[in-house]
Amino acid sequence: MILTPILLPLIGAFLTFITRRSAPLIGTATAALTAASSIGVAWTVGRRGFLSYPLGDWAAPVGIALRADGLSAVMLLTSASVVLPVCVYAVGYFRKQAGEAHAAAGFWPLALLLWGGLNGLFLSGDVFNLYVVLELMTLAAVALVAIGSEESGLAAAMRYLLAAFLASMFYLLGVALLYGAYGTLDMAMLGARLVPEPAAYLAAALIAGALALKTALFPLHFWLPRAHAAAPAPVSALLSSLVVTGSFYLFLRLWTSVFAPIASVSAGQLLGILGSTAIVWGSLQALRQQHLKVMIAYSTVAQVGYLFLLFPLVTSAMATAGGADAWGVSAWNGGVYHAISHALAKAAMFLAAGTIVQALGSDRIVGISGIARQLPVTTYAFGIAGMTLIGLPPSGGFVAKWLLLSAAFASGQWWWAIVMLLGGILTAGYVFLVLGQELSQAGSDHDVEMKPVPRSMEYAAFALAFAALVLGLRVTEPLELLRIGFPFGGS
Amino acid sequence: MTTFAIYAIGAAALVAAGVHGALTRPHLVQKILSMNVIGGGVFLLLIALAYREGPAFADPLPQALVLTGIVVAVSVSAFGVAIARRLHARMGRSGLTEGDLE
Amino acid sequence: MTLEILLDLLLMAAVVVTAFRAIHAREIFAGVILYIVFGLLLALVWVRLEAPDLAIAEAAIGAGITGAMLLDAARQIGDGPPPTGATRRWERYVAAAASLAFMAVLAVTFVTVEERTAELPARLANSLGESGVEHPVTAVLLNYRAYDTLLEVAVLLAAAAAVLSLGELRVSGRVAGGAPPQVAAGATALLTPLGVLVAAYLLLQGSHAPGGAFPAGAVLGALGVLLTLTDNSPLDRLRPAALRAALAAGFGVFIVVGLVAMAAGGSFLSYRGSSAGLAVLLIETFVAISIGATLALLFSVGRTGGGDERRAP
Repeated sequence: MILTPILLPLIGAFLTFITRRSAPLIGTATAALTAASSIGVAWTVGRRGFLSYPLGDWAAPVGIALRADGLSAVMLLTSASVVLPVCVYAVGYFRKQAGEAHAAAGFWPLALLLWGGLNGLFLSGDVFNLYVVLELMTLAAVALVAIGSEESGLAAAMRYLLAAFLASMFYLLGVALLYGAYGTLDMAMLGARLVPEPAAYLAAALIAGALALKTALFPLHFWLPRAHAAAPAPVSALLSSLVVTGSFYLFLRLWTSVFAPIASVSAGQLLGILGSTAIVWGSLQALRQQHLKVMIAYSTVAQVGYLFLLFPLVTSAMATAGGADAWGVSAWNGGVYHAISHALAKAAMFLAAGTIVQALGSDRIVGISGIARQLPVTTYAFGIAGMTLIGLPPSGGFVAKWLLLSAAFASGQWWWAIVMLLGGILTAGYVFLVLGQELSQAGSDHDVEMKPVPRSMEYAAFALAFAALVLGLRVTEPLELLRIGFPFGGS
Repeated sequence: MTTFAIYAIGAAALVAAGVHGALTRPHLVQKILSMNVIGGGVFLLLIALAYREGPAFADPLPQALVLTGIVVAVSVSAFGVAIARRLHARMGRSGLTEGDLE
Repeated sequence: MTLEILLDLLLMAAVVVTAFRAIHAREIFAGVILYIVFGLLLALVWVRLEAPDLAIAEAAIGAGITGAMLLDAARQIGDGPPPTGATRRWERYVAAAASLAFMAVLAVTFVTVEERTAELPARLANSLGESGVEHPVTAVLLNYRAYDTLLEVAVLLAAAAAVLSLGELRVSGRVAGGAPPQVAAGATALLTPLGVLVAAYLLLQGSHAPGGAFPAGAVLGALGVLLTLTDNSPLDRLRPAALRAALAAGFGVFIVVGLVAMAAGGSFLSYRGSSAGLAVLLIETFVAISIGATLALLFSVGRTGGGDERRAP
């Protein structure tokens, strides 16, 4: 049962690899089945609590265990909610890209392998298995960037590959140290055995560095903007929403399990400072971009910063007796909620941008004026997604920021609140810059030929943006689910 | 000095030399080569950990992990080389420049 | 200091010096040659550290296929003006000093983790009887941690899909202006059955001695590379659909075996005793074929990037 969200995409990847002609059909069907099975796993976690599955009937540490708690369940649901609309979008998108048959054929197996890897990441309980999963995701993600194969895309893919390869090696080195020092690869056992000593600190530093590089945390974000902007739109959406979220998830997971015994308040503060710099720097860069997709990619650099504001708050909550009740829960919920809302909103934004690019043939921000009249659904999608990124009520982004802000004040770390508010203003700046262009009347007389765009593409983007909005209206259920297996005792 | 210590220090040297090369050598072939040297260092640490002095058998687990790692590394390297060649064929370039970031 | 320790020191020093010179060689081609030497020396280290499976894989994949790939790339794109690497002298000193400091931190920490527990190896050995094979490395790869290996085969599939998605399905063919085939046709005619035989031997031996799917697949892949170099790539003779089937077969069979185990009442990839031996052999056979096909493909696809497509600098 717990295995199906991993296995179904892998089977789909196999089928779409060998039968290329019907790949879009098989791919979309696989996406629907996988989404259903993800809901099934989340439902079971919600009803029965923590799940564990020994692969090959070998109990850890001899074998590998899959584990699912509330956080894994929420992440599975997030990936399903993003991939399914992206697949629907991709069917229309690649049909329109004439002469790119091999790109379209490459998309399906690679995207499904990426998804299988991602779900494997959310469910894995073994640090070496996570290395293999990370490599699967990396290779699929880099290849997906390269299938656009424009010249800028190739250079971006190359840089992405080198950065990700280096990160994987650091991660594996950290795993080697953990195995040497504690004789196991199982996450739960490692957490129980780990003690403050040089090997543990070095392993933590190597793995944290590796994941910061993969999550594109400032100043290790240099590879992201080009790679995400140069990729075909459905790929940009998957990378910017899910791949980034996947490595953030792993960071959070390891920080609160394996490395919990040595997670220090000062390390948490450092991550918070890097996150804050990312918010300001990424937003300022986004403001000065002239191309829509590059702007959205820099927005990802900024939004990743918000995710890392969770660490100073959660770490000090872990260090304070009873602090968990006061603000640890809010910070945890807020950070994860931000990850989910951002995933949905960012995917919506990239899909909307892809629709605009396909209609206009260019993504220069000045060129999109007046497009709202021809593409109203896409404009709505962009607007609602922007609302979530800014954190306006009643979006999911609002709930996330509210929770993080209240945690910041409750813990006395008010300085993070300043950064969050500043980031919100800057985000509003670049979102309204684009919306203003889309809605402006000035461009109505310019004679740009608009190519027709499949409706399915417009509605896929809208569905994602709408989901991000609904997340702000139905808060109880996701937070209830997230509580299962919460790393702080009690609550 | 034990056998483990010799190879562990060697592993550290390989990792550091590889990272240095990956970051400072300009040519893409050299960067991919350096990445593989880092990999060699990481694998060496694992295999040195698995080794037991005397009659005891080596720990099979790290050896299996390294076999997996070697195959993963060749896959990533091969794709890296394929992109590098295409980059060269299309743009006549064999390195990455700061301009790619703009 | 015993003789053994002295030999260890010499071997390790040779490995490190070769690696360093490979990275810093002035000519890229020469650097790759040194890298191949590095891979072979590393294979010696694996023999010394009692990891013969790795020695075979390293020689065939690390030094062999990666080396051949880099060598081919160096020949094609290694000449010409060096990319912008003009750094200032002080920057180079800072980078070197930082790397030395990094090495010191790693080395000081690495030596603290020597052989703390023997608990897990003992448990692995105790379960060996149930695993269906006698060789412990094979047991880890194809039974205890078969799920890792399944995902690793997925990585190979991703690599194959990746290079195929770059376009140009024509697989082999000499690089324009490259050297003519250096191995005579007669030699390859002899080599092919020999390579397949060696691979089959390694595959069957894997159940009780060093060998198994990975070394076998590596040998098949190396054979494919040799044949590609002599314009005789077996991949060329396959129709695209058949090629894809060969590339994905290992992955598909692996999943099917895992599901059959589930249907029989166990969990995914659960097999024990005599049926385990069969399951492992079945998986290994197809995985070896797919590894061989994938490695040969990875080597040969990049080669078509040159020639007509190259733009004048």
